Amino acid sequence: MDITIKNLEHRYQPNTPFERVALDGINLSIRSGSFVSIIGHTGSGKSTLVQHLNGLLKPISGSIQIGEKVIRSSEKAKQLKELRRRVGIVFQYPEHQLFEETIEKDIIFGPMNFGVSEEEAKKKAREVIKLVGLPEDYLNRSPFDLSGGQMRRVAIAGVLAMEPRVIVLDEPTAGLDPRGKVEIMNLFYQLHSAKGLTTILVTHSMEDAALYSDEIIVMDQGKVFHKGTPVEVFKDPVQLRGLGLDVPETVEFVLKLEEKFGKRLPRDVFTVEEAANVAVSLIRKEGEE
Amino acid sequence: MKDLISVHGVHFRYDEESDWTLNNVSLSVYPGEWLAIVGHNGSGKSTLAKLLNGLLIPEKGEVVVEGYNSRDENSIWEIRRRVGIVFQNPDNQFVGTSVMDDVAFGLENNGIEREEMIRRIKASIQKVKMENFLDQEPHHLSGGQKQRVAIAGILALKPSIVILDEATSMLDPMGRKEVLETMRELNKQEGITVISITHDLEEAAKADRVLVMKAGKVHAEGTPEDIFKQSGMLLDIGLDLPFAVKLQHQMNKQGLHLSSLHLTQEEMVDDLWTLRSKT
Ligand SMILES: Nc1ncnc2c1ncn2[C@@H]1O[C@H](COP(=O)(O)OP(=O)(O)OP(=O)(O)O)[C@@H](O)[C@H]1O
Ligand SMILES: Nc1ncnc2c1ncn2[C@@H]1O[C@H](COP(=O)(O)OP(=O)(O)OP(=O)(O)O)[C@@H](O)[C@H]1O
Ligand SMILES: [Mg+2]
Ligand SMILES: [Mg+2]
Repeated sequence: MDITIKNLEHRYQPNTPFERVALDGINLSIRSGSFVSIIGHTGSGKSTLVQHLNGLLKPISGSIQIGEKVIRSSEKAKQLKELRRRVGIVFQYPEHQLFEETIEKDIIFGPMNFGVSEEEAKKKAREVIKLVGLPEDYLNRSPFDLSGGQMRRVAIAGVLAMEPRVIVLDEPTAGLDPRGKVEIMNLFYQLHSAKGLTTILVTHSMEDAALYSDEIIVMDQGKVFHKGTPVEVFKDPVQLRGLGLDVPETVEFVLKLEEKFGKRLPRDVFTVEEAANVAVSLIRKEGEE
Repeated sequence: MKDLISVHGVHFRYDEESDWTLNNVSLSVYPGEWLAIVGHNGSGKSTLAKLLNGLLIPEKGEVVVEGYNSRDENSIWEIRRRVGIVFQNPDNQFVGTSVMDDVAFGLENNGIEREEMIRRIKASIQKVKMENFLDQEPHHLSGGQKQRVAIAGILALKPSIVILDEATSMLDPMGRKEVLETMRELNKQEGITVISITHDLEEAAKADRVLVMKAGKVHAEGTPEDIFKQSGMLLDIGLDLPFAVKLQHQMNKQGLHLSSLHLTQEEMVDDLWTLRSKT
């Protein structure tokens, strides 16, 4: 489903002394089936933006079109049910997503709410709990008696069980252990490619944004600052740092080499292998000179 | 060196019928050090943190903080005053209805006099750059802003030991650098002991000492160099290696060998430079 956002504005607590502009004049289009990352400083409006994608937040003005559906400020919750089935969001803090007394009930809630039979939903629960790296016997446990990373995994399982067409991930790997981070990102990427999902990743990991995205959206103070491919976005380290961001560690390494050796090197380097290649060929060339 | 905290033979579980969550854990924390604790999800890091400040009490074994044993009810207050925790989920930590009140709350509870209180609130909120949000309700902040305020709340209390439980996981790259730099200054200049529970191995590589937890036990302990040269062990238990180490392994595969194992990019680049002058 293509997503088109026009002149979106959002203010929290409007018309009170606490009013705060969180989004201002956002215009974006996201192609169906693409993988898009959103990066930006703390408080730049990323979570506010993505919560508009399934109607959790309503615009003060402007519109969001997802497939055929157009959301405006006047939208009623009832009209959004179909949208919520299509667009799944993994929240920034998993605690905000978990509410049932067992993990199983938590995971089957979404699918059953949208008409899947209990039996079918339970089968799905057993499938997704394994996908996120937790043992099946966790299904009977309370989601609140878990470690931070385990809660994160359950929250992800709940969204996967809904089989959304658009998956929105708000810092999905915060709190995961290093292996978990890699496994879960690979899982998202694999689902993305295999099922043609539209994937929107909010992240402070410049590495993940560089590795997985077709396009990256850079936010600054409630506005879209820039949109481009990873190569385009990570071209200008000084500007990024000014926005509270940075380049991926692979690019940082290349920049350090450039400085030390006084040479211009390829900067579109986003994997460890590629970074090693740059260093190895640099040393070999220097040897020949 | 004399222990600041000693943990001896600690066993803990959340209910009597289940297996041990912490199974015979012993460790020391030394004054003024920066100790990183790493480990897979569910290995017991946050549970350990709560035992270190007396929020949880061991079923067997002992936790002693500057001479105060957490089993002794009269000691609990003394322990909590010394050990401040920034929790993994900041929402669990907020009590005030504004950022200002929230930071003030802990100070009031500690009987800090008014002028000193105002000074500390200002200073700590400034340290985390949240001066523009004094009146905002903490629960209505962005994810990273919440973490900043949670850190300010603990800094204002001036504990001698700060435990950061993944306290910077939602900060943007520059914000994380700045906050860790602030903590490092407090650690170096004011001698505050820092225990940092983290999945960020770059951060762990900069610690004085690293403790590795696995399934409720202390699995390994040592300097970052000691720990990160055990790559097989780390990968086996669900962890990974800092970027510089991974990069070096990859260069080794391509026949390029550096003089020793480097944990930072700076050291690596320097070493590559020397290598070039030799070839
Ligand atoms: N419920 C709320 N009420 C009032 N203001 C809010 C609320 N939620 C967020 N804000 C404010 O809106 C702005 C944007 O917040 P948002 O959560 O979208 O940022 P973000 O880019 O997701 O940041 P982070 O990286 O820290 O998660 C921030 O200044 C924040 O303080
Ligand atoms: N309140 C609780 N009641 C019962 N069991 C719990 C509770 N909190 C944690 N546990 C269990 O205790 C074990 C250790 O949890 P802990 O939170 O200490 O792990 P952790 O190392 O901090 O993990 P993470 O990296 O995911 O934060 C886990 O298996 C978890 O499921
Ligand atoms: Mg956010
Ligand atoms: Mg934890």
